[in-house]
Amino acid sequence: MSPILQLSEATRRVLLIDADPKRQKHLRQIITRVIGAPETRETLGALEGGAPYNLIVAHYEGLDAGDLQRLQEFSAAHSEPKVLLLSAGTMRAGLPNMFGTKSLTNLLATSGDDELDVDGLIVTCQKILRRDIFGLEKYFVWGVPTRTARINKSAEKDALLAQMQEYASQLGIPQRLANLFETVVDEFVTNALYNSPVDADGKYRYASTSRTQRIELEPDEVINLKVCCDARRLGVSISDPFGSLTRSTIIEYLAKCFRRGDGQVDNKAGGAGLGFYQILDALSHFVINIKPGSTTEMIGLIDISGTYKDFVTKGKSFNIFVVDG
Amino acid sequence: MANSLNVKVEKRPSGLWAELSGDITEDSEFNAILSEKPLLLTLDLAGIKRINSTGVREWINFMTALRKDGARINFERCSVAIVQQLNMIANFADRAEVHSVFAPYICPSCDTEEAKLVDFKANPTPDLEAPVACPNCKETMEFDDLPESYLAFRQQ
Repeated sequence: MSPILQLSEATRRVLLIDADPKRQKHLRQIITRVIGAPETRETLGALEGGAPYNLIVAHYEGLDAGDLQRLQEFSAAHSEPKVLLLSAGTMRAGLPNMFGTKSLTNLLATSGDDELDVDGLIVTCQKILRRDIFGLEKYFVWGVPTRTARINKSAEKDALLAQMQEYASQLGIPQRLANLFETVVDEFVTNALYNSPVDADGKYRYASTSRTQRIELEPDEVINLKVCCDARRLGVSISDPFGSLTRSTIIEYLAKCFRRGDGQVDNKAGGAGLGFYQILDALSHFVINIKPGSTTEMIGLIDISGTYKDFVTKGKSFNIFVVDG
Repeated sequence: MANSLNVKVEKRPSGLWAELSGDITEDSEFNAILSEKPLLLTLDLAGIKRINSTGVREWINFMTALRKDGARINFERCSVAIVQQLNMIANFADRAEVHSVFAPYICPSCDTEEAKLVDFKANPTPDLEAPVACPNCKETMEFDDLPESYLAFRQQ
């Protein structure tokens, strides 16, 4: 008899690493109920590329320096399985280390009291496992209204920023959080208009163009901006039809900025090389979705449930998802 | 909308005083100050609302040009947006001395937001969590940032 209900997506295997028994139990329950029972370990142990796992979920604070380095080396050497790090607390101290290695690109923050963002964990795991990565809507429940704007020339940026200021004002959020939102929109739009467009040979068209010089994309090259808010988080996404951003570009720019050395600010033609750094600083969760040669989508979520201090006290989540073109 | 940068320059006995307000972006120009070739310059930065990534570079180039001209620079009344960049960008202040900054407070009772001036000359080791009365409801406001890192730029 054929089953009426397919009970499990049994082919997806998850390895869960957490030395804290209580936390491991909680994580195991969530992963079991949404994806399937994971294999659990207290420490990293032996790892091999490819089979048998599709995803490794590990708690950052539970890893010693040796385990973290091995995970970083493993991630750099193998495209599968993907590694998702969970982190309690602010994690800001760990970010330079993480980006310095250029290998780990999935981090999910738990709040300061180690409370897990269950929705975030489910969405992130499923995006990694299903390779269905695009859409701001994945981070919000049904019923949250989304507003959209389309832009294809830099001269429209100021008007768009004015609209976004008005939108943030209508939400009644603290001014400092509204300023973060405006920063993100500004950097998203500038990046999409100047850094993303490529010609038929894949060469960047405007990356070296002064940001004071007005540019206009072709009529069919439209940048889509979406915003929404569910009272807990303010979300913004921008997508371009180029898919020219690469994982290494993002990580290299972030690593450069976190090192705070002489080269922190670029003095070359074009941008200052600080956009991703400013964006990450202004967000609770920064997601970059890339389908090479087709689409880049950047998603930003700002926790607006409290004050700026609440925002800055909580950790930051960061994900780069890449699907085949 | 980006609020364009306004620069008001005033010659005082103590040197050149420049009051900046608005957003620092790719379109910002500092020629009104640079053309004066000041030897002692005080920048009043209370009115700076936002600085984007290309604005940071314009600012760094501005600081570099001032240093090449031999200017001694003081920052006064740095807005919260300026303090944020002082903490994020290694050479945002270049060799300038930061004399005073605004610290952000929020009232848990009525949500009023207020920035209070912190003068390092009068108070070299300020207590950012000292009680501040809300100008609206008189309740005690809370410092709206991380007290241990808001002034981190002073240690760098």
